Amino acid sequence: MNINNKFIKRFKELWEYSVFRYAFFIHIFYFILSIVLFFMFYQEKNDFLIFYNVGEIFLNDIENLYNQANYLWDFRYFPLSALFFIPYNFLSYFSSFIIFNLINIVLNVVICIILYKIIIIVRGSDHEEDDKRILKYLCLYAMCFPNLLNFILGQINLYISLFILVSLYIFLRFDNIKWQFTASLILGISIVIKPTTFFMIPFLFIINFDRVNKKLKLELFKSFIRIIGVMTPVSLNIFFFLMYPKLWNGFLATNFTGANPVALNFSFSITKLIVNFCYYYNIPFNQLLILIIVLAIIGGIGFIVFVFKRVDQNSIIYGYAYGLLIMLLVYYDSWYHHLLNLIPILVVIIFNAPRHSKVSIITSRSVFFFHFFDLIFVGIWYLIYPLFPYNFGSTFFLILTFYGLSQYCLMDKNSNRNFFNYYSGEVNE
Amino acid sequence: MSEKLTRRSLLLFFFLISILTFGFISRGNAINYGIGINKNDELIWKCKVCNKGEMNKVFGNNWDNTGLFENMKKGAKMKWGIKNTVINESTIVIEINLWLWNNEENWSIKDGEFQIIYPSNPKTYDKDLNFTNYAFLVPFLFPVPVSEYLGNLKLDGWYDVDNRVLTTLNVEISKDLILPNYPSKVINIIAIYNERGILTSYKLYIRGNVVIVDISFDKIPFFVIPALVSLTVCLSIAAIIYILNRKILTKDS
Repeated sequence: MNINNKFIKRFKELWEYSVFRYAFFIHIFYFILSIVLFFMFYQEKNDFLIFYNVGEIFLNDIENLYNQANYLWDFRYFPLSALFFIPYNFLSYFSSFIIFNLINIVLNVVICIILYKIIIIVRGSDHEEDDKRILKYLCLYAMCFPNLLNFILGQINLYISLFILVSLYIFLRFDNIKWQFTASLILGISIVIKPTTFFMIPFLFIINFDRVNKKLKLELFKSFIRIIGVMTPVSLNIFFFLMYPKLWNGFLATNFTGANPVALNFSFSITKLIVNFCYYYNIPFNQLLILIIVLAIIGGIGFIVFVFKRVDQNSIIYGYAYGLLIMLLVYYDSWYHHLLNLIPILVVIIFNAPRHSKVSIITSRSVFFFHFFDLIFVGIWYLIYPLFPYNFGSTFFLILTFYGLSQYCLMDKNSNRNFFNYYSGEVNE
Repeated sequence: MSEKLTRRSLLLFFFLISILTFGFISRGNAINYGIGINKNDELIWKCKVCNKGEMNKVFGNNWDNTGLFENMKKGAKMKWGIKNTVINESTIVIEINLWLWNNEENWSIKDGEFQIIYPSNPKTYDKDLNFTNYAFLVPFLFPVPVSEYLGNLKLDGWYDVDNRVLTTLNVEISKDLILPNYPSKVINIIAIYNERGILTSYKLYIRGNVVIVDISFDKIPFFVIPALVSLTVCLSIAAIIYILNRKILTKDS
């Protein structure tokens, strides 16, 4: 049976499930809606316009890559990311937007397939043997509102999610050095395209505290290969910064020190909530210092928990989750469409953790919130920001997930059964 | 099989052609700019912070003698009465009656009147446009849609438009940039505009994000307080239900 027939056969099987049909039509609706809105309202006001312009500026006027006068709003990614957008520049703006979003649909299909394969590898023994529950979560992901916003804005989060999942799949599936390097390299490419995954780097270290012998264990060679792999694409940007010093200044100002991090917006990161608080009450502040302090606290706790974790198998999943959670909680701008990077990892955790465990329940509730309710809180922010400029809904659920993961990672499975069998009866999700 | 393939190839071909045809659509529909305010509207701004000592240091001792800064102090209000608005093909003109900063609600006789003139098409402005002829270094009113109008201005390098969420004009002016010793320190301004093109928040900072002037539009939209109250009530109910639920679960176990 060739791959085409296999795909059609699987599609027909899935079509029997109503949730799959809903997901299919809703996803197509998202695509059509994004095209209609683009032609009616957003053609001169979306993220894709920035990406489209970046390709041209990279080719013709690279020194001004971070000159914000060239864009509707700021371009903030690494210089090499512009390479990724150059092909779109050979097409007209309208054609490239449609093709870009068609590719987004394909990416979502591929993401669901890889996500399914990962779940099959890591699924806990006490989970249902059939795939109905997996299908439900994959369909919910396809229907989630961040996907709609990703289409409308012409954002690139699905590329990042794909790279994250491919690298995770390789890490879980293949243990030899060649594949470890490949997986890290893929993760490095995702950082080049968009630095959302940057804080995953420390969690590539294979490090753990050996409680029996009371010493720290580090698989030095493997960790070294992983770090080399992830840093290779990222460090290529250094050449551009060295060749064009203006680029470095622009990159720093746009991302960390300029006025943009200060501006009032509905980002749900802790740093942004603090900056909004200081802005609103005219409290003198240094945005970079706030970022560093929040990073030290959240990042520090995350890494310490990761080192002292009691999860023996597939612990890289938890490292990935920590990396993304830290980024979303710490960096100035965390938007609803960035959740598309986190949601697939949380879905993997739901299936990896014991079926009725507290962490599974917390994570599934957070995933449900991120799917459908975060956007409501963005709407509420617009209604109340003159008096209360804080979009705290997602912050709460991110912190809750962070707490749930930490508790799960640190808990001794043998001594505390209560945590792993949170409810003795059935759980309705 | 081959017939099926041909049909599929044809469909794919037409699909690709139709996508590429979109390329011939001209980009950027012409936007008709207008004014978000009406004749006889009253716009009032309140000064929340005015650090006179720092302002003297930054702009010299006479900064509040003339222009829109005149007599500005903490707690004072300034009123603009919209006398007339004219929009034609080339310009947008707003005629304004002005009541300068004072602490009393009784506005009595106006302090003056002036006009604001904008080109109907922001692209007709020269390159490196700045607002140094405005006392506040940013306008209090813009044509609408404001985000598009601001986005299409070819502003000087010290201005940065942030259109992502709220239409915001970020300004960074280095020492001595406008005139020698004016300003005498690096200053930053964050100006936020609402969908009517009205300046709703103006903050002037010196180093360390220390606010020395804070002005805000004196009218918050009618839905803000009900929305905030509703949110508080909903969250409180959710918290109570959660606590009760936990208590019941603990009791049962």
